[in-house]
Amino acid sequence: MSTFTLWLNDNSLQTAATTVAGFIAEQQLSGAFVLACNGRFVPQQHYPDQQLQPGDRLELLRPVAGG
Amino acid sequence: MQPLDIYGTKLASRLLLGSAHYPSLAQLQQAITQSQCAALTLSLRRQASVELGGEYVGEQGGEQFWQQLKSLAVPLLPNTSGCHTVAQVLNLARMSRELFGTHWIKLELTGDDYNLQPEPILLLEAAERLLADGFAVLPYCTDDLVLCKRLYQLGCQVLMPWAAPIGSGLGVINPFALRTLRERLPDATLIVDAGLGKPSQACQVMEYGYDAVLLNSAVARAGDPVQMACAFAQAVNAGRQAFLAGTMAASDFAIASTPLPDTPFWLQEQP
Repeated sequence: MSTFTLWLNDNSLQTAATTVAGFIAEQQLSGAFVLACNGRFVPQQHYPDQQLQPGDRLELLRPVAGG
Repeated sequence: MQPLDIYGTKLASRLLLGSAHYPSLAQLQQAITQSQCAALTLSLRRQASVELGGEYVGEQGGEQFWQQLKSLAVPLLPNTSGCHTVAQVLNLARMSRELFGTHWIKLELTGDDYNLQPEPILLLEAAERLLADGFAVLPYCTDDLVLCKRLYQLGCQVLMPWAAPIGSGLGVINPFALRTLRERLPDATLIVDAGLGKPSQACQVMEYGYDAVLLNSAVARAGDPVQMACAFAQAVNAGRQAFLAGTMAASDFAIASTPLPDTPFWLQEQP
């Protein structure tokens, strides 16, 4: 299985996943979070269809305190 | 008492709290429940340690933070804190809507990193685009009358002018501007957000006729945050009651409280 490099919150990762849904399963990401790919929000309903390419930059955000 | 109206949602309390900087998650929970606040602000951030396989350190975020806030069933008001562009605001707002399950958004768009002062021109553009996208927009703004009029005309039913810069605790630095906003925008829901440090200052703006107050640092950084949250809740109520009752007109001269007619003769002698 071929892998490629992408970025998760500025950390480089090797992945074999071709979609966001596959990446989430591969990395066992759990809990409450939302994702953006290359600066654009990816709604949850698009996870299965959102293709990943080498060098993609994923931002994963979770709830935090705020004023 | 008439409830607070946020885009058609009626809320009994007129105190909104932020969730940051509390000494512990337990104190945040107690502040929320004991003050019976109307809503709670929160945000979205990266949590690098979690994605790298570690545990979230501290009580300002993480899954436990989120699960405990959810269990309180207090209305959530996510913010766009940290955004400097309209594109950043739109992204973060849409992510917040999905995760927090609310179309309310506290629009923050910083124009100056020292004062954390909102960027007024981009704020208008961001508000317009968020409204078009179905958000109920609560813009954090300065007390500038023209800016607030423009935001209201765009369709922002709720405006959140500052009393002073975020976290400063200075209180109302421009009473004239805040009173003018209230007089000129009588139908807008006006919530003073940021800069208050003491319950008396919250009471002051509620006496002006403001609809509510949003606080974070003044409560979270108090010696006893839970007690201070309750003090603010009482001050907000006192100010609201005073506004509804109508305060007396001030006078530059004394007006005797005790009737002057029939004063005994021995009190009529001048020294």
